[in-house]
Amino acid sequence: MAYQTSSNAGAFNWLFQRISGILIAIVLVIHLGAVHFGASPVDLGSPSWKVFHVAFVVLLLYHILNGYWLIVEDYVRIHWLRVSLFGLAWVMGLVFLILGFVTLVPFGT
Amino acid sequence: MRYRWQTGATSWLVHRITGAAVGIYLLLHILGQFGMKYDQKGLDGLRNFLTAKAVVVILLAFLIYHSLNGIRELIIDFGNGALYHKKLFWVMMVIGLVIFVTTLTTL
Repeated sequence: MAYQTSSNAGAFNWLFQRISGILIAIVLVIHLGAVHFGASPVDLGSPSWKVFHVAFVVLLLYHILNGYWLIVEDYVRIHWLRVSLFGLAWVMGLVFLILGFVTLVPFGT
Repeated sequence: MRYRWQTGATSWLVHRITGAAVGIYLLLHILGQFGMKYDQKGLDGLRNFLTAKAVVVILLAFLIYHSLNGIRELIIDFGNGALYHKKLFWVMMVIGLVIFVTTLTTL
């Protein structure tokens, strides 16, 4: 806890890891059902599926990178390394957000 | 850090490991779809790896574990699951096994 910036810095992440987790569980079942295990193919290029998948990517990136950060906080004690790994999470988040956007927005065109 | 190999601590550690693995898989899945959209031949190998049967089977197992243990953690955190968290773990594992076997038959 030595590097926390404020007394409730972890509480928001704790709660949102749970909220995003519930949402991902629901979205994942729909994604798997429609895209990977579907009996009939769905039009992933339709606006509603694009919005659905962009939201999925945002939720996933939050959940994955927050989980990554929880692990870093538990095991990494060296200050400069923690700061670097925190920065890496933001870089990864931005890179994959862009990758997801440029893949999904023009999907089917 | 020292770990105590009891149901609670072990399920927590496995939650971490499965979470990290599934997280990496899904990031690679996004990268693979990007490669398909923009016809990047270099990413064909990655997509073949991600869709290999053995990888998909492991992914499903990890995903089902992580989802169900996540729900169990929610019941512990927001309900009264702490009172019966060990029993709840095994209930979830039985549900998970049923889902796993059912999904495997449709692969």
